[in-house]
Amino acid sequence: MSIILKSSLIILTIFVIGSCNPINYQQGKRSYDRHCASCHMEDGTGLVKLVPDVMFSKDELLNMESLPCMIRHGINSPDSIFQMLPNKEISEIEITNVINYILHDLNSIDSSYTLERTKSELKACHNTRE
Amino acid sequence: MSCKQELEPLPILGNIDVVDGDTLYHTIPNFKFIDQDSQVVTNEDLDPYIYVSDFFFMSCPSICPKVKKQMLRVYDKFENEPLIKIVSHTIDPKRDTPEKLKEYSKNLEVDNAKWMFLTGDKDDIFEIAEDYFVAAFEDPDAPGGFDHSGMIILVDKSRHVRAFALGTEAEDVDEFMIKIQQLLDEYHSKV
Repeated sequence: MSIILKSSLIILTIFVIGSCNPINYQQGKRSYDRHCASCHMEDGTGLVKLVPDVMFSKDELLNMESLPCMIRHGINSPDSIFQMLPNKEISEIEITNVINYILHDLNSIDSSYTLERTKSELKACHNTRE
Repeated sequence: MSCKQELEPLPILGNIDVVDGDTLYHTIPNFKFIDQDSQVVTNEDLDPYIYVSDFFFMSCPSICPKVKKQMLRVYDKFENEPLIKIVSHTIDPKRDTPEKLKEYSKNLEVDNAKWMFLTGDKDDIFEIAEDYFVAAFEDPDAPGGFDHSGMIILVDKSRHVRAFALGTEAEDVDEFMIKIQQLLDEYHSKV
């Protein structure tokens, strides 16, 4: 194989691998903008003490309630005047994409949610709520 | 020789009538509302100020938080300018009582004297919204039960509307803040 052909294959491979993830986050961004941004803001900074931001560290993430459950069922804290509304309309794939967008693009955290993880966490919180 | 750039004064917006040779500009009518400290606020209380106004409701799931974020930018920029007040009207007086509005302003971490949150008679609020060129009405099909525009409005000391911006668009609000500064300069140069 000629060097030119080889190197263009390598470039093509890099291009394909490199473009896979951003496409995923682009979908996540679209869903985030549609379902989350009107309260949490496009840049994720929230609104002072009325709407929490969605910025967190990897350590905070480990100690948090399940993100898919929060997105699906909302948060109803009696001591807050602002409630996070449940969202029955958002699909499990969209939830996964939104979380990965928040983790990667808004927080530069390099761990990812899989669809399986979203499904199993949703199942778990669904069971505790029944 | 002056190098200062002469700016066109901000226009007075709304209908203009000429009655008996006098030009009558659109003016915010008299009003009487209640603020987050349960104090009565009338147009006379705002006479010494220019103010930035919007309409919202606390349980609004759509554009309100975005508009508030932009209003907060205006507040931050002019926090130490004594001539400016911020006036937010709730369009949901049934749920947004003065106590709730107080809680809201506390969580927004803003100064009560600088930023008023007004409630009152529902018809009065909806009626005055029209004078601010803000469409607001009850709509069971709209998110949260009310439909309204996210407009923010600049009113001068003579109760004339001088500028407005889409409160959901940061760039629009950038320009709006330049206009606020321009109106301030008009008053400062008169002193």
